[in-house]
Amino acid sequence: MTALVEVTDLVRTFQVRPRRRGVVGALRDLVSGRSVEVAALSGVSLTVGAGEIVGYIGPNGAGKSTTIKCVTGILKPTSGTVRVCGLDPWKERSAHVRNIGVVFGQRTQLWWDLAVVEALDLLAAVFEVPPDLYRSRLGALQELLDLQPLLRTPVRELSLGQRVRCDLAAALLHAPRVVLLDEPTIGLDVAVKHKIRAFVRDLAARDGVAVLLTTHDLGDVESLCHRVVLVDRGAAVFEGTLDALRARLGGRRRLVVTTRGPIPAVARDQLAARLGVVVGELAPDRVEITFAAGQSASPIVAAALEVLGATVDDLSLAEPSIEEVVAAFYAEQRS
Amino acid sequence: MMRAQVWWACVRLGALHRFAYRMEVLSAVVSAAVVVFLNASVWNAVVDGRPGLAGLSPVEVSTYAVIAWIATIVSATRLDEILGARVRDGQIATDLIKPLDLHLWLILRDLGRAGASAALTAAPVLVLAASVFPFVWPSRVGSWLWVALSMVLATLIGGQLAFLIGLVAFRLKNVSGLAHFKASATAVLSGAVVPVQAMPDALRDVVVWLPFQGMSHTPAMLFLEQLDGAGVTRALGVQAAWVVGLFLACRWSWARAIDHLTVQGG
Repeated sequence: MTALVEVTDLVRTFQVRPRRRGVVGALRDLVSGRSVEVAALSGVSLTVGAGEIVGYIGPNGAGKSTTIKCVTGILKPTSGTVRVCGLDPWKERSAHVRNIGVVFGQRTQLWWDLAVVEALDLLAAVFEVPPDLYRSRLGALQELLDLQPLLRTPVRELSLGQRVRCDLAAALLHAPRVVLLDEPTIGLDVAVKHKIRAFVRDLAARDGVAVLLTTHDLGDVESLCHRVVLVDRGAAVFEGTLDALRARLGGRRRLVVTTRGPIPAVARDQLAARLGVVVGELAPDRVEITFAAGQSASPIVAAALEVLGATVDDLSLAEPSIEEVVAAFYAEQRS
Repeated sequence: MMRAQVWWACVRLGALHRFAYRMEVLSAVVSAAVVVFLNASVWNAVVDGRPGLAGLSPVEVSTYAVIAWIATIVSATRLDEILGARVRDGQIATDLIKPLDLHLWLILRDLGRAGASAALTAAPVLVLAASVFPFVWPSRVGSWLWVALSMVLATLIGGQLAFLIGLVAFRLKNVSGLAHFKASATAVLSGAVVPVQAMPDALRDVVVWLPFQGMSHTPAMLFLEQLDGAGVTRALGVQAAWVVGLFLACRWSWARAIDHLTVQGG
């Protein structure tokens, strides 16, 4: 697999002027503001290959947006290298932006006062998309993102979900090889979220587009991402698959057993002793067996069936949620 | 550099923005009419009962007062505030992810804006003012051509001055103070408030070297047919020189400003 996005040892520092408090402080700042250097990114590396969706996650202020800005070419890295389709985004910005499509969930790249179709026409002209290609791509995007009823509406009158769909179409008109999605599902309802996820999944699978996705919605990550990069305080602290992340954190799996009639305490103790795991009582007729993420469930299921016998009514197995895993990871990093 | 098709799309965008709000179109006409009428009334009062002013007859002073303000309406732009606002709220990011030359893009957009202003605001106010105040129309068709060319140059001067001021936002994050200063300086130094001829000698000697007079004094003089053949060439040449000079200044500043850009907001 060829890496379309390669970020190596990316560092970006900002000059920040801490403000003093109150009116007197503000006046003193006017005269004698001192600036302090703050590192937003201190050596981040990551790659995204063709057809791959990489989730870029981290707490607020971790450096996600700064990374995306460096990859889009709108921010000059302090040091380190960024290569997208072999180009330096900063130095070769006008060639580079033809290779990328960007959606900022929190702002629109369309023109506020223009009707959607006017804005898309204009973008097609700006990106020099040949008219026949433009027509066929717009037709396809219209279908997939359900844009038909929106085309004549001024952008300012769109709802958030409608706007993000239009922004997705806008980002893809020129058929970019790399798509950067900065919190694309922020504030969207479940139905729109699902639609957008399906669309992004297809984009990578069918068109071989490399997708870098930042989000706080771990549902996005779980349903889309082949790989995740976790960033915290300007440094990448984990890179790998979601399963690898789960395993590394020793997340917990849970087997819930429901029986017909109450489960005697002695049976619970017997199970716990036999398996060397924690057995909790959820209800008189329901117990929860918690065990390590790396452990196979079958011996535990077998033991439960053997001890509780024919009274077992139902079994269900729950994987650790990605929310728990990431929360545990942040906590581990901070301690 | 961009292709002609994109240039046109961009000019069109500037005009489309101007048509977006019906009330805004209407209020632009009303406020322009009020200012033009005020200015023309004041200057008509000044020359009332006098033979003229600084080489202009009373009717020419009246015409100058109308044309000079109307020219400013077309050539003066809020591009600096628009660019400043885009930097301040980080929206500039969405401009930079397009394969656009932001300088040309904004200047061409402003040309579209000016074209729409000329048609929607300047033309009706001009007809209205001409029917109310003493007014002379150009006697030759050729003069209209020079006026039109001069207005394009005036708009390019105004747009690029504003672009330069907007670039300051890349460093300072806020340009509204500077933009206000530019707006007042333009009104005074362009001849819109006081005809350049009527300025004190010391001030006039400075003003003729500044770009501002190209934004309204020059079109007004061409409209009044105050310049002979060589004078026309010289006046347009000075405007064109400012367009080129400001163009180079914009290129140079843009290349430096972009290094200092920190796109704000998440």
